[in-house]
Amino acid sequence: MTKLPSFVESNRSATMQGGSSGIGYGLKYQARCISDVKADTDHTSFLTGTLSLKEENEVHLLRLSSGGTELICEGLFSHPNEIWDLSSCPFDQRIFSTVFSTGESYGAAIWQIPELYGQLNSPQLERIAALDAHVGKINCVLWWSSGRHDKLVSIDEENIFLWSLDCSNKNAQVQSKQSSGMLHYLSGGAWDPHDVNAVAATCESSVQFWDLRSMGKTNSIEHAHVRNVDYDTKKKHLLVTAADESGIHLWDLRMLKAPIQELPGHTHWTWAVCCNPEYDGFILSAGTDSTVNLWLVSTSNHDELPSESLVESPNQRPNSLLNSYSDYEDSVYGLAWSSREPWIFASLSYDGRVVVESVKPFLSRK
Amino acid sequence: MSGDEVPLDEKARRMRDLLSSFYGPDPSMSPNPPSKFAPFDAINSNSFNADHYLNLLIHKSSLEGLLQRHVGMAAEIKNLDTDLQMLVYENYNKFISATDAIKRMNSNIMGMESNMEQLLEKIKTVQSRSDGVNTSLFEKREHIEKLHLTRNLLRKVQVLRFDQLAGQISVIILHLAPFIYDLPARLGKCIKSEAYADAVRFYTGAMPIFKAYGDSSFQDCKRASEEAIAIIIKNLQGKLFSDSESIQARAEAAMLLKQLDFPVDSLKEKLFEKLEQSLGDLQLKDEDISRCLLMSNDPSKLENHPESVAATVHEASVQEFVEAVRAYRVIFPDSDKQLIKLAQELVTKNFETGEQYGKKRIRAADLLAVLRMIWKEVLQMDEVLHESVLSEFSLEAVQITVKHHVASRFSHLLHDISDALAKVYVGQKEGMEEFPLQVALGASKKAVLQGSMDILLDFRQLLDDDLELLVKLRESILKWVQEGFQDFFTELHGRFLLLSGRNNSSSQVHGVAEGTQGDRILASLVLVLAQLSVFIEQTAIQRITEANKPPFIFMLEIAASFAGGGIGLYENGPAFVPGEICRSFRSAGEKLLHHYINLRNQRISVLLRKRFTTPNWVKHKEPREVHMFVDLLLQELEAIEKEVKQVLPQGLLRRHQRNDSNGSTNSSRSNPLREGKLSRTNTQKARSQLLETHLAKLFKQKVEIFTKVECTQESVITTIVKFSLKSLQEFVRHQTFNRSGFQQIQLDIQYLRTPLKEAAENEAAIDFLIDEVSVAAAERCLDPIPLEQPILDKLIQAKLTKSLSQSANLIGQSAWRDCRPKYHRMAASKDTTKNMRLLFLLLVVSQTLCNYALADQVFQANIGNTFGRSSREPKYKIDFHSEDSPFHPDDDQESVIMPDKNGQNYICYLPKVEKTKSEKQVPQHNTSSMIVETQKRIKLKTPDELLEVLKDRCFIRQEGWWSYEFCYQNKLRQLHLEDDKVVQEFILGVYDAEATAAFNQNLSDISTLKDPRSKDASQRYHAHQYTNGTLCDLTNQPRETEVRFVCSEPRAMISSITELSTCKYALTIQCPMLCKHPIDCSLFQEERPVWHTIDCNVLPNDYKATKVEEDKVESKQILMVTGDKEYPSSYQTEE
Repeated sequence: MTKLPSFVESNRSATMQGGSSGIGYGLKYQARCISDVKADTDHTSFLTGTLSLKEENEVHLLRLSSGGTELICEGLFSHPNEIWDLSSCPFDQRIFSTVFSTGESYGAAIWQIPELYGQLNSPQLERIAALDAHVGKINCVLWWSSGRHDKLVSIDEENIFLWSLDCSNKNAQVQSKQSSGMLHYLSGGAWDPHDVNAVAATCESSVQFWDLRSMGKTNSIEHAHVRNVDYDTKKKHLLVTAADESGIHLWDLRMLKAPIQELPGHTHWTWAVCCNPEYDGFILSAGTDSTVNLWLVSTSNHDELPSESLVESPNQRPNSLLNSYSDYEDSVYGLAWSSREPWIFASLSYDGRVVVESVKPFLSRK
Repeated sequence: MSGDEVPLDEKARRMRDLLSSFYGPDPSMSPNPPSKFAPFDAINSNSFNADHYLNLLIHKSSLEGLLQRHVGMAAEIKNLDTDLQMLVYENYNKFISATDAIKRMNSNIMGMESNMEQLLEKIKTVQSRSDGVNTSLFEKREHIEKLHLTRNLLRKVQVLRFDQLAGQISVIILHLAPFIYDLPARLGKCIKSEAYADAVRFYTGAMPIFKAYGDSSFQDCKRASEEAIAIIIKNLQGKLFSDSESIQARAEAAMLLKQLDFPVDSLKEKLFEKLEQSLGDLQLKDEDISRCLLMSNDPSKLENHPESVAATVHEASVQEFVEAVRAYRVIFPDSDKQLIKLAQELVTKNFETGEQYGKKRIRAADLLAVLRMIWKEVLQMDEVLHESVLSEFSLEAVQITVKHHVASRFSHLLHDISDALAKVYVGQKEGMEEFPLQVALGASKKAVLQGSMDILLDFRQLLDDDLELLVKLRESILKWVQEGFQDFFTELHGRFLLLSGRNNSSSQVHGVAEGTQGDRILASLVLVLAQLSVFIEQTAIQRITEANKPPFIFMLEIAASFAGGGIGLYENGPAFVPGEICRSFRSAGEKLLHHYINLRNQRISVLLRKRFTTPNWVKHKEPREVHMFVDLLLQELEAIEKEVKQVLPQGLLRRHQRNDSNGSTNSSRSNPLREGKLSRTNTQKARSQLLETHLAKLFKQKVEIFTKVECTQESVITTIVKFSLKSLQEFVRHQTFNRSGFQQIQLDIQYLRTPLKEAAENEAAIDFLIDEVSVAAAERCLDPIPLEQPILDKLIQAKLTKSLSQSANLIGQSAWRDCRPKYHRMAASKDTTKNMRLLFLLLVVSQTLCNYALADQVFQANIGNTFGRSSREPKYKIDFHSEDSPFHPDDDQESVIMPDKNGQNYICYLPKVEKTKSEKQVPQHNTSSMIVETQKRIKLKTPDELLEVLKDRCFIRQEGWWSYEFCYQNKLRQLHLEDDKVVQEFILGVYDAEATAAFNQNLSDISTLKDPRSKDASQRYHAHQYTNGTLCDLTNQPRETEVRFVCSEPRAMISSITELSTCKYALTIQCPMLCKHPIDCSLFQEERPVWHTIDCNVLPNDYKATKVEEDKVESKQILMVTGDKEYPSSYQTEE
């Protein structure tokens, strides 16, 4: 049932492709970011924040009902500014970080959801720490996803900061900081789940790899306009990048000369890309063509000799597009797999619609 | 004891003596023993006297002694007897053996006798022949010789021990002798008369004799005849090797040589070498072929000989060779193997030549001719050497040749296509040809189709030919050709992908090697490839398949008739699968097209990215003009359009939607509500806006943004435009704007709207996307107050004028004429569109039809319109006149026909708008209603003249860190002063009289503009251009400034300085003198709102002139504009 990316816009009445039934949830405003609450082991939850320049922004804590048929708003918290980035703390479900903007200036902070938020009338987020050493546009705040780690990485256009976070004392301090160098404007990044000292940062012309101990660049992929980058949590050395026009590339960190595989990506830009935390080779991508694509790549031969994979042309591989979810009204910027139920993912289109889908029908393909 | 020993010794010695005396009468042995035995034993001596001895013995000896003596004597006698006996036996034995020997000799002689008899007979026959010659002359001599011979013979025979035998022999020899002795002479005679055969016969006949008796009796004779024979051999050899001799003669010579036991093998080898040599000559040379082809191709020589002269030369030599081989075969019958090898070698070599030839670029007919030639040879040779299975052999060779030929044809074809494609590079680099892509595409198309068809035709020829050789191969050829096509297309496909840089490695190589320029070429190449793929898929394959059909049918027939054998062909399915190729090319075409679009979009994205990431949008300066990135964008689009138009076919559905979308209400689904938001400041309402939008989206039809790309000009351009707009939207969404930034975007977008819609097919989608960009910008704006419509229009007009003049300057006067229509069309169509919308809107207003529709229309028309708070905005009212009392327009009033919702048509007359006008009269003045009354220009002081008083004056203004120093008609400097010392200095521009003149010229009559930026938006200004300042490191261009003089009391001073865009500044100078501008006191003062009336008459329903009328209006406008370089829409704001 693999099919080409659908160019044909379905009518409004058309049902979702692949017969899957997405569960929708509408935010009041436009929104860009959604994050899986990894530390919540009892429920499948997502955090999302709105992006409205002039209205009062909100952070929504969403929970998938036990039957998996409904998205319930567990908590609704107001947030001072429009949220450009949001990520949940991997070891404490009540803690998360945001990057926000007043329109003119940027800020980043660590927030804590009040303990008994369900019983409060208008629960307020508690700000644990402000990551206020930045000047200029902040892109993202990164947590190390593989365990309890008291460090944070934040990236703005020109610098990478390493923070040491003390949640109990509500304190975050800059541990080290390094400029990305002249003419390298950073746009985002990802923290290697296999290596607590390795961070990949995207900039206009390349993907840079940083060592947090020395705060120096170790390596780079010369590939322009990378929009998003994600490490595979299962497979070491596997990195996935999404670039505006040129689609999705898979890289082996040990040989960065050429990608080991290419996926066509989206009709317009590919904005976000996500490796499944559990199932090998399942990759999600979201694009500005208002679709989310589910890919299956065979990563089995990634450990083989580089020459082989170089010779092998990507278009000889079978089309690995499993499904294209196209029932979105606007560009999709937010994308997150659930780590608790790894066959579930949440996507967020710019118009504020959260859609949770299950890829279970495709798991048998593996 | 000793006595016993002695007699024994004596006895032996005596026997020896006896024997020796008998056989070898040597007297020297005898004297010695008698001296020893003389006393009593001299019995053996000659002087022995038996009686005496006896008497002496009787006397001397006693009886006993006598007896003893007697016994002794008796014993001795006995011994002697035995010896005698022995001797007799021995002699006898010897005799027997001698007899045996003689017997043997006798039998030999007998054998010889029979030989002799044979010889005799032969000689006799010879003799009888030569008798006539010989008899008379040589009779006597012969006789003498005979006698002499006989005597010699007899003498020799006498030497023999046994006369008997000798006698017999001599009898024979007596017969033979005359011939033997005659032999050398005969041989000599034969040599003279060249009767070598006879000579050889003689000689071989005499050979046994010479062998047997050559050493002795016939020595001389033998020598002589051997000498003769040596001559004969020499002659024979000469004959054998001489080509002039007939084959028979040579064969005979060879045979004779063989009979003479001459080492024929070496001869054979020599001859063989000769054959090989001639083979070398015989081999087909390229010249031969070309000559042969020239003959067969050149019809003018046909009259000489249809079968060509040169070819016959070759044929003759082949014939010769065949003859030689035949002779050789006759001569050396056991040499078949070698000959076969030789012949095969020749054939192989010839076929190799043919193959080489086939690899060249030739037509099948030529190959056919060559093959035919070779085949003829083969047939000829086959006649001679039937065992060599040459035909089978050559079949194989032909197979290879034809196969290679097929392969080479296809590879040539591939090469041709690559060459054709390479023209894209060359053409672009040289920039010589006008439409390099078109040329390249055409060439490659032709290469593909024509090439393929040629190949097919050629092979058809090959197939239809009745050459036996090829008939057998027909099946295989078919298969090869089809395989060839399959491989060819597969390879072509691969090459396309390679060229397009889809492959990882190659794209990287390309990227490095070609750089940015290469990217551009690559993109167009990709486009050509894409179209070529489509062409192959849609046309070429089909035609090839059709052309292939007859052979297909033929093949099927074959398959049917050889139910068993023919099936082999289809074991793996037919070799050529058009469907598969079509599929692969279709996908390749799509892929390449997408690749092209992708490449183009990448470039546009880079452009947009630069535009959106460089400035600080939150601190953006007020927009002064349309940003130059739109030029770049349009340039890029134009380049794409140019490329695409060259290469891709036109779609059938060109602009089918145009009329629908122009005024329709549902061209986009999102705007009314979203844009409505802009006007609403009510925050409560804003909360629900998004939901409303969602709702609205649910009920509106979704505009298809990412439709399938078709391989047509429109589709591709539309897709690229759509993608650019989508990218623009995404970039906008990623920024936050202040009011000015938003206004800048609004302005740019507004400017882009018309050309983009012009370019793209699906106007609804473009409209939708452009609105989306505006909405996105508004959403991301802190203070979304759009530019007022008049200002927007002004700026856009300024931009249009500027680009017009720029292109005019750039292209030069002649080319300018060509490009004018385009710009004018742009301007004109834009205005009519706008006008019509406005009118329609007003119609609707006055009829108070639908309020919602009003809002919709307002946003549809222009964002700015609804916020028209400006007092300067012209106001319109519409008067509807009944049919009874229609409005009577003036002659030159422009009219527009407008339908209302009920389908009722109105003809509406636009009001006359006063404006200044140059003296230059437009030819169609009286019909053009855009231009109203001519107002004679009053020759009065110009603003420049008024400003003259500022000459040599300088003004300084302090603004924070920087001070600005402006010297009238000199320069403008940006300074940082510390203790009155200049620490930093930038020149923002030096007075540029030319640019100022050009600027004012372009503006023509409205040489005074409104300053959109000043607090009073209606304030007019007069501008001077200052250019060529300090180089700006951001734009890499010199800084420049527009100095604006406005009317303001009480004194001249710098009122403001702003940076319009990076390193472009605007300096406003207040000048009281301008307020004294005599033309119109209000020129530099605030304008007053004016009301205009639009009069509409009801039209009868059958009025059909709508379209014609519109066209007319448009064309008039164009004419007018070309007349005096003025934009026609200014009537809205001009007085």
